[in-house]
Amino acid sequence: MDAIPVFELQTVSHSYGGVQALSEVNLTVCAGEHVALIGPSGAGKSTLIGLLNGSIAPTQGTARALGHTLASMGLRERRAVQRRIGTIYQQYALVENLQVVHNVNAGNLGRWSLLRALISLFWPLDIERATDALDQVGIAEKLYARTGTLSGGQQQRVALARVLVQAPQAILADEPIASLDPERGREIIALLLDLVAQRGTTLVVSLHAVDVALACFPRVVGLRDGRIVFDCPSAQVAPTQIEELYRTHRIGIGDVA
Amino acid sequence: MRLDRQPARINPKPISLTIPRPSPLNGRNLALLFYALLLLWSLAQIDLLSGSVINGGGWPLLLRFAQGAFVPDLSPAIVLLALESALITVAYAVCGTALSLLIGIVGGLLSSERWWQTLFPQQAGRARQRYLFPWLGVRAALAGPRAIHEVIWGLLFVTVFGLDPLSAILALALPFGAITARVFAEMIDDTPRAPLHALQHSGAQPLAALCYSVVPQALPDLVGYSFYRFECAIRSATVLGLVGAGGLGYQLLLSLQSLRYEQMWTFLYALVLLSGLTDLWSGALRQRLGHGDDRESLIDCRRAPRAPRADPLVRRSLLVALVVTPLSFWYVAADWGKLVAPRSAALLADLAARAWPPRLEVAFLQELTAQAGQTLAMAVIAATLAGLGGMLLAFPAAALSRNPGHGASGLTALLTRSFLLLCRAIAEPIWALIALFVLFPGVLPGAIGLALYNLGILGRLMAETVENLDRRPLQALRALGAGEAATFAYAEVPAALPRFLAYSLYRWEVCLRATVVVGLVGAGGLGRMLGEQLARFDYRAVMTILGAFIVLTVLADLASAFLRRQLIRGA
Repeated sequence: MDAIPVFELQTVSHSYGGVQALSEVNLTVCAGEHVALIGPSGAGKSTLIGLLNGSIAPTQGTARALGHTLASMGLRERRAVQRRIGTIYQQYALVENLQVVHNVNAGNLGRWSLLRALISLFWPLDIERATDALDQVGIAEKLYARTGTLSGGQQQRVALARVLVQAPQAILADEPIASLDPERGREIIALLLDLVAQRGTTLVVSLHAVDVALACFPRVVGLRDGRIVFDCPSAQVAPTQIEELYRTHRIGIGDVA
Repeated sequence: MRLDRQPARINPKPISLTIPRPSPLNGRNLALLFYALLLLWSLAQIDLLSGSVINGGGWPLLLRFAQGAFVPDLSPAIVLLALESALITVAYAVCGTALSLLIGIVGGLLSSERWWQTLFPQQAGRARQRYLFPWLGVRAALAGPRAIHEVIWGLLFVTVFGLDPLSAILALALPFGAITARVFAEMIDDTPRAPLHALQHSGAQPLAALCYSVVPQALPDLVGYSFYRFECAIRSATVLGLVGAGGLGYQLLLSLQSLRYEQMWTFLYALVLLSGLTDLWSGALRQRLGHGDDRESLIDCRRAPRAPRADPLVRRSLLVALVVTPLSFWYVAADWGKLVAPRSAALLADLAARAWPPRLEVAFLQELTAQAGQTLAMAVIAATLAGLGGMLLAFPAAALSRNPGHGASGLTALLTRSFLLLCRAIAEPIWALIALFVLFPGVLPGAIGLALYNLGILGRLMAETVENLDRRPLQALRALGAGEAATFAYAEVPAALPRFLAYSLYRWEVCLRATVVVGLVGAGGLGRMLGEQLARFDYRAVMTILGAFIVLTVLADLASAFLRRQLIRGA
């Protein structure tokens, strides 16, 4: 298929102020791959996701998405690439006092003209597509419900439907199930994997739930202190590696390089 | 076994640890000392000993005035007049609010950081430089109209446009628009960022991304605040009437000056009814839309849970607003042509020429300094009285939610709330006029007028604070056997105090700006001086006084910010 990798990080480092979040990370994700990122809090998982969708620029190194170096592009061109990458967030990033249909239709904003977007806020357009997306995530009946009245699991489904409407080539998910109970979390991951499998979409998910990562994803990347500790098929991840990944520092964070 | 014996020591081992008490020389105590000195100095300005404070000759007049309360003039002609002037006041308020919202929406968007960040997205670090100038430019342009009270704007517009409704409407619209813009900008910048970022990073164009995140997120707050602004506009329209714009305030002043107290009470009752109803209505709306109160509610936790937009009261109110706004514009029949008429431009140029250069003679500046001191003292005393009164009345006003299901609590709450409503239904200068029956012009009548009105506002805000307190610490103390008074002192007061202080300090800033209106009706301070110079058409002196006012306002804002920082943790 496509020879160009979907995501490519070459010796990428990123620091916030003086704090190093990622150090010389190399990562290549090819079309159709499903990758889970695991690691303790503060390991740099969210930063890595941000580098992949262009919301964060690397301090050093090159980050490419769909063959483009997002950080060095003009705004318009960057947007054109970004609309082919969908992202799901831990806190859903939905507008709670809008009806579900508008949050789902927000996935169209990369394609729609401003006028069309404005009209739709008053008279929802393209309802078929929105209904279809909601149906696929199992909550079609919530089309006209106020988003804030839905449960956490349902809101994450709305966020999923928004990404489905966006119809991207790759989906990123930053801790998509960390705010849900384990059962609801497994449901969302299963749904996500099912949806990307049907479409051949590339998927990168950061997860706290190690068991889910190992059970559901063919490839697992372990991150700690801003470095990739391992990157291998999930079957090859040894329990000692997991233990090492989450081992607490003895005193503070003084031994971080 | 006796239950009330001395409890056992926590640690049976002998004490080996002593931790020194922290030094009392901290920022908080210094701030308190600063405030205490300021208050003492302010009280000294009243000059009680000089014998020129209480006007003994005024008592019979006050008595006659009070008697009028029981025999208001209810003849058809006067009732009709009251109705008609109330209608004019409402129409001014509607038009002024409508225009101020227009200014507020445009100005609010342009002075919010979110707008510029979204239009000029940049990678972290370099982001600000590209929009810093236009952003700060808009903010600076809006600061001017805000610093000057609407009554001063009214007086200035009258000299340019004459006694046309246009002057009254613009006097409301300009400062209100600037205040609304600032509050809107804060509301916009307060909306959660995540939804906007999610849209931006999935390639949506900036304007569409704003319309699908920030706009709907901020909308309930904006609508709630708009209705609050209308409530303020009703009061301000009355005050503008006092300085000649017509409507209820104008009739009030006429009947007072001609000593027809029975008629005056008819207008007062009309005013209380009008303000009271608007107050209750806008309060009910804001409860449904989240707290859209002044900057005061922005001080903390504004993200209250919202009822859906489908709420019938909100929907009907919006519908009423939609119908009433064009009707009001038609009814006031302002001469909009004057806005662009060459004559207005000529008058404005003439005014500017006569106002320059500002008067700076030594004698005048000495008088100015003395009056500025009186103004400052007036605001300090007023805010202190209103703050203390509010703190005392907040608890009985919130009695029902403190002791639910208690019959007497319900009555206490109702009485206290009615009193507070009455206090804020009557604008500061009217209270000051009543105080002037028995007091000579000076610090005291102005301070009383400001204090009563602001007590009404503060009492309501503070009662809401008490109602919304987290009840769990209270229940925990009751559960361990603490009495009512101890629970009050250890749980309720400490939890409510930071917000009480924040509200009171902000009220101080408001009081200082409002000293001008009580001054104009004769209470004293810079406002009185301003009125005298305006009557003399000495615009050079007016210019200097306005300058002094702005300097005073800025100083007070700085002092208030200092006190807030020192007294309230995390504010």
